[in-house]
Amino acid sequence: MAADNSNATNPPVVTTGSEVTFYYTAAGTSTVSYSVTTSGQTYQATTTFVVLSPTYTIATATSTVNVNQDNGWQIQLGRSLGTRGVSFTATVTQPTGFSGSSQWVQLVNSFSGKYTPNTLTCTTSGLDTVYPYRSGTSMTDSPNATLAAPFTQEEVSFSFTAYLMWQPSSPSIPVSIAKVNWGWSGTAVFSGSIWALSGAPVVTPPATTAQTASPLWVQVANATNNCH
Amino acid sequence: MRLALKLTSFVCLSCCGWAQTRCMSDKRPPRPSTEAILRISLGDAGISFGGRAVLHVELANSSKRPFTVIESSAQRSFEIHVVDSHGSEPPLTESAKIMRHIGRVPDVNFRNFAASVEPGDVLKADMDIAEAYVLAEPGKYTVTVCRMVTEFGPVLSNAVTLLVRPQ
Repeated sequence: MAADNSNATNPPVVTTGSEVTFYYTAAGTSTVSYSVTTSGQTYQATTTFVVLSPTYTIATATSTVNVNQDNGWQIQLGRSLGTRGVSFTATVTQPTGFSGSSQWVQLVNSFSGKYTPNTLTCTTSGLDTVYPYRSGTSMTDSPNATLAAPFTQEEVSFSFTAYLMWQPSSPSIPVSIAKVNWGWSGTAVFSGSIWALSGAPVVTPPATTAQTASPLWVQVANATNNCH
Repeated sequence: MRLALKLTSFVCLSCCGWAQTRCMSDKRPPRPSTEAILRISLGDAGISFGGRAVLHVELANSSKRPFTVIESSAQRSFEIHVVDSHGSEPPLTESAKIMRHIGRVPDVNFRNFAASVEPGDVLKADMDIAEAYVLAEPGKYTVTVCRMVTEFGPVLSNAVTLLVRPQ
């Protein structure tokens, strides 16, 4: 079998046999040729697949970095209850005659935590906790870091990419249709008996772009495993 | 008289069990709920020393209105609490210490959002008790789970007994 796979992913390693599985991950047309040789005679058939994809819009909102005591002292983007750190609300329009569902997958592009006075630095990247992050068209997140002794200053920086995935009802893998890059950073210091923000925290506003490549990761992000 | 003593012992054990369990985010003693029903069961009631102890957890909304929970990792969302046959808590693993804010590094929570649990919905998770506790001594352990439900406060599960066999 031979195919124009410019709008496909996971091209099959084996392209011979009576059945070949092929996943298209982007809209477009693809010409597929299939050859059979029997008794020294070769027969060829060609067809064109028209691949449709959903259209989407994503509304985003962000909150501010704060220090709170919602679960002990913590520095957080937004709050766990109340104003979310970020919220993404997608409107997905399915191609006529097709159905499916949406989900979000989030990757931690990078995390860095610098904790003093012990000058401990922790870093990580990878899948954000579970796959998928959340089912449905909406997701929110209010990431946080604990503020606790013996540390008196904590500087944290988060960078994320949230992928909007489409799962067609027909047998298929979930495919990515959009991604949202976002992040935040901030520093908290302990003084007297309270923690407070130090300096101006930074919120990287969500930036949405079309995305057809699947999210890739090699580990689940863990902000406490890689510290030195 | 003997019956009364036995009854007293039972009540005391029940109270002690509750007293050991606290949700991290709410220090009120957790209680079983008839609206947010937290059920746990063991994959295997007995494990070999050092083995994996799978705990099945379910939080069901049996009320007629939605309630709210904070979703994170399973270990953060459903807090496992274990006591041995003497009522003492075994040592926590380093990751569990961090989640309870007594670890060597601050806890960082990437996935953190409020979710509405609709009437009839059930949240499920499978966890490994050995990821939270170092069960270094063979014996019987009592396992409970606590989960914060915004509308009801800290909710307590049923208790199950885990037998850790000698190697």
